[in-house]
Amino acid sequence: MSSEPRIFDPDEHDDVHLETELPEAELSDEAWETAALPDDLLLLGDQLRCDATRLHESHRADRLQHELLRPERAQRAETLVPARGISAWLPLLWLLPVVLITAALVSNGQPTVPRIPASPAVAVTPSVTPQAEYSPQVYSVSLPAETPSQHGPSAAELDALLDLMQNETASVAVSL
Amino acid sequence: MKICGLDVEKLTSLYFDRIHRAALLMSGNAWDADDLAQEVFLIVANDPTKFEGRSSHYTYLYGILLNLERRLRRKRRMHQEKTEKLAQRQDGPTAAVAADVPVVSEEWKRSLWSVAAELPDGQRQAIVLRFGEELPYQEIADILGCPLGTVKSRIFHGLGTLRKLVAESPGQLREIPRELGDAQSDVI
Repeated sequence: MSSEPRIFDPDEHDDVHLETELPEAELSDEAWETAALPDDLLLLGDQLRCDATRLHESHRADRLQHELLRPERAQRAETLVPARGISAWLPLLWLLPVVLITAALVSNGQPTVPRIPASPAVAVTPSVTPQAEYSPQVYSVSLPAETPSQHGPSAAELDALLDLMQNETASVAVSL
Repeated sequence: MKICGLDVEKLTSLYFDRIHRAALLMSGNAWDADDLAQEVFLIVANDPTKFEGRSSHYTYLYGILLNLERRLRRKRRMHQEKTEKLAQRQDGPTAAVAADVPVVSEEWKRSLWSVAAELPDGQRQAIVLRFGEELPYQEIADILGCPLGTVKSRIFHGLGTLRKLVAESPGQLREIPRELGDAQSDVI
């Protein structure tokens, strides 16, 4: 180790250069912190570490919850929104003409369904018999005979009046 | 498609969670973290020749992530400033400004990381990599592309600024002891 004194050079003592020559460089990080930082700053550092851990845990829990809920959400979305795009059944549509042609060929060659034979013509005379005879019950009601009442002029009076009208042109007041 | 003997699929399965975790701490919401992490691996997949193999895979990935996050943050800030100016000019309500603020998770808002988000970029990144990702100082220096001493300095000053911000923040984060006040260490 050389004991030669260093010559002071003011340009050498800028901030960066000073910092690189700190004697604590050989210390471990933790040892440097303990030696260099006052207690309250050390506490601040610890508090920062705790807060960081808490934030990470909280975020991880949120993400886990989100991941767990994802299948349920997807399932709910599937039931609510009809699936778009190519359906799994769509390729089967290509088989439809083949199936139809095969069915037509089979039905021409061998009728798979037995036909119902036509029934012979039969003259049908419907015989309708009344189920029961209708016998209405007639109720006869006898009302008391109406007594004739005298309304208006009698025949004799009318004849006299007619005669009077024929004979005289003057107006006649007739009291009934 | 291989990146120094490791194909992109393998790389993603190995490091995606790690990158996502760091993105979550910085952005404060899962949506931005998802986007950032995916973009990191997209960049790698689009141009695998950029990785020269001088550092480890995740060092390279973290480097991309930090750049992307810084760009996103800058873009948001500029957008917010423009919206604020517009709102002032029109004398309108500030609802338009509020709508531009990214939604962050409640848990992140209650954590110290929401306060750390207000730190300058260099300090914030060093603190995320050290206290969020538990990386050794030397690796942090490799990722940030600066000397080891600078990383230590950023950590120290970053924590100091964080303490001040916590002291100024409303009630919820005040449980951190402040009895030592603004006493600075004489290390740096």
